[in-house]
Amino acid sequence: MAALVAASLYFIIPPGVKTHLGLDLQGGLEIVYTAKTATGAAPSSDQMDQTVSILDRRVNGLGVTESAIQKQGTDQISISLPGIKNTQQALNVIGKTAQLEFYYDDPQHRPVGPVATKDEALKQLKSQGVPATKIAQLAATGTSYGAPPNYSLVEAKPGVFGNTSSVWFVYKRPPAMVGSAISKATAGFNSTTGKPNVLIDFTTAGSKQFQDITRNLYHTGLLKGQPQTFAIVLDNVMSSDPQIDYTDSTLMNGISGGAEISGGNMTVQDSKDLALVLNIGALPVRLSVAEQRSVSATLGKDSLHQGLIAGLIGLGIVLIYMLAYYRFLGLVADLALIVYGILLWGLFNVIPVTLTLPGIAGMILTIGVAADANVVIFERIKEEVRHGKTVRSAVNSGYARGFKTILDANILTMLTAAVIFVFATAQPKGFALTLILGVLVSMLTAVLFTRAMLGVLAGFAFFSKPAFMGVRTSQIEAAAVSEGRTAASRKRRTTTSAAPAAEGDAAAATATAGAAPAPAQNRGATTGSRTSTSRKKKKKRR
Amino acid sequence: MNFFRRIYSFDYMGHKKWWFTISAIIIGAGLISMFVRGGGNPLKGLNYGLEFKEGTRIAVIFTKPAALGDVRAVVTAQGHPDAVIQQVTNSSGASSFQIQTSTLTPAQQTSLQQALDQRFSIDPQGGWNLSLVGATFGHQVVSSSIKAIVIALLLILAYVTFRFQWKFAVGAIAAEVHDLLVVVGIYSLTGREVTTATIAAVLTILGYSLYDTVIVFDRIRENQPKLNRVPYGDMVNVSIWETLTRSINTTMITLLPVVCLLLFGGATLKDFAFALLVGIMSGAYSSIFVASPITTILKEREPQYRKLKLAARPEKT
Repeated sequence: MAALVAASLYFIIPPGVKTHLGLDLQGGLEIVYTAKTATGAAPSSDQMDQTVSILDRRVNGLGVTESAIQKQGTDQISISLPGIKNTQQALNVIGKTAQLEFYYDDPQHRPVGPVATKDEALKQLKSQGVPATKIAQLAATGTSYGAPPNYSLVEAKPGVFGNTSSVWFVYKRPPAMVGSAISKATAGFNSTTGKPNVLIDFTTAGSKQFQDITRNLYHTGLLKGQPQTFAIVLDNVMSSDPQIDYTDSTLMNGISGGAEISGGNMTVQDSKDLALVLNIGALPVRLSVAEQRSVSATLGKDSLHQGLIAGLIGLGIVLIYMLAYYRFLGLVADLALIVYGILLWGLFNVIPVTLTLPGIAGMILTIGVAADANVVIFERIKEEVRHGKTVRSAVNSGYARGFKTILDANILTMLTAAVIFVFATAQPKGFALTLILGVLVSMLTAVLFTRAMLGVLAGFAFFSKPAFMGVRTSQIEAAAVSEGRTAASRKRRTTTSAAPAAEGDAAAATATAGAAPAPAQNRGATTGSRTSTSRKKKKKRR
Repeated sequence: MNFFRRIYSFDYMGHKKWWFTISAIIIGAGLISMFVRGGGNPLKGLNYGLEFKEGTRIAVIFTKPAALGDVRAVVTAQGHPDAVIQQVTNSSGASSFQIQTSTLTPAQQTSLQQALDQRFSIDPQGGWNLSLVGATFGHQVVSSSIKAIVIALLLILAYVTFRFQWKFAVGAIAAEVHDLLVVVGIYSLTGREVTTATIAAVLTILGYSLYDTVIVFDRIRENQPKLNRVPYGDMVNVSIWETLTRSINTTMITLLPVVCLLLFGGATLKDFAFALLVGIMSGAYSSIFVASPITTILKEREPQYRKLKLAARPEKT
């Protein structure tokens, strides 16, 4: 037991450092994404696993240390990023599909554009005889699917190729090349304009594809006597539209080295973020934000302080209550409660359980459960003493019987909590976990600590006086008599008047209060000599 | 009359009808409130928090003094005329506001933040707290919780039947449902906001209330063979008297920290604490005044106990 407490203390000290604080207490960002495939269907479990692993790498790339990424149900992923400051950047990096595509810009591959609005682009595509279902798909997801031919709707933000406002295109799928051809992306600066850009290197196969594209463009340009362009599209947004100079004969065999993505008004941060997501690769699904919560660090700290203060005050009052009510046994209970607190906190740090606001509330509630274990056992012991047993045997049998009661009640509580933990989501889950651990530790404390304490104390002479537990000799007799009488007076017990047996119980119960200045003839004498405890009860029961 | 003495000798089972009436009044009032507020649909009779509505909620603290009208003007100029804006008074006296809008895109969020910052200068130390919720989230929490409640109740039914008897299980389940209805009803009556925190608390109440009930049942089970010649109701009374001190003490011990949470905790903790407060009181009540009487009614139908009850009746008058 001592070893357990010592171990717990080792994991607690220094406080605050070893406890994992949840987002609501530490500040940070929490996002829940809903995943859908490009066709809007539910993702497969393979796709979900892949997505989680890609997101994990992206989050690591952001430099967040204690992030947690979890699948939720079949199509949701929750990400918590404690302590993160720049939430906007995080959102940009994490949620991006990062589907990089290269398209030829000639009319055959780009049937529509540039036009000023999305609707206009769709209208023009429709006039070319594309079925309405494809148009609807494009309007909804930006990409049509099903039987070919299929299309992608692409937006070019201002500045991509000298345009001053956003324009729209429709490209015919499949693209000439996709992001899987990239081996490495590096953030840098354009040597002529000095603007931030991302340089991409290709894999061997990718390099060949890129060379084919650029060579084709060179020769087409030569034929037409007009420079040709191709589009680099990231998640349906054109990020650059480079031109192949047909007069530069060194490009006759195409470009093999790599490519550059410059975008419109890319900032240094943007280029770094883009390089990060390109290096990690595209998501197999599309993510939409289902829930997003950001908590500032100050707000978190305030909540934590308020929770801790409330918890400590609550614990303090409970300790005083137990001491006032059970006197010496109360001291045992108080010690047990403190041990309970230390063990629970230690366990939280070891597992580690992330402490959240619901968790704090759950912990405070378990104070009641833990204290109750002692209350039940003590009440039993007192009963046994009143029934004329010696203190030592009362401790033994009272403990055994009390523990049996607690066992059933605790198993049921844990059962309920376990069901909640398995089936509920979000906050209820955290609450349930705290409750399960709290009940387990409270049982452990009752078995290891309270039992041992009572055992040791029962060995001392001073402890074997019933008075020490607030049970008086006269009450023992009274209770014993009433107990004996119960059998005889069973049939006489009535609903309205206080039959002797009933009154005996009342007297016994009064004795339980301990603090009552019960006179020797306590039956009927309690009137007018109410204690403060009894008054408290009176108020409550009404 | 000494009240303290009376509660330890009171005939709890003999006054069943009173307890059922009290419960019926409280639950009835709650249900009526849910129907009235929900316009016929009781599920709509609760004041659901943001988690149940699609949208964006921003808690913002300004360093410059700001009037509600001015903030509204800025928000409206940003293209959100339907935003719900509330001034929040806090201890430090800073001007803080709660803005609730339809779902904002990241670009809209940034532009709103910049506009407000320019005008009132947002506190750089955590003055901007944004949450965004999709339509499905709250409903998922509710539906998963309802699933959890149903499964939990079935398991409780099975376990109590296994450890005690099905008649006890019926009493326990009735007490659970009673507590759920009381808490929900009180939330509807007071119009308090129902958040996911509330739901978490309600689920916990299930566990707690059951704990309390089992303690009383355990004593009944123990007394059953010892007091097998008195009417069942009287035996239950004795069991309640014997566990009453524990019931009162435990309820006090659990309520004290919860009241502390209600007084000193932050907004979220207060939310929990209120639901727990109502739930714990209802749970303590239902163990004695709902679970036990219902089990007694069921048990008294058994031939042996019916005989005992009839035998005791003439003396009662």
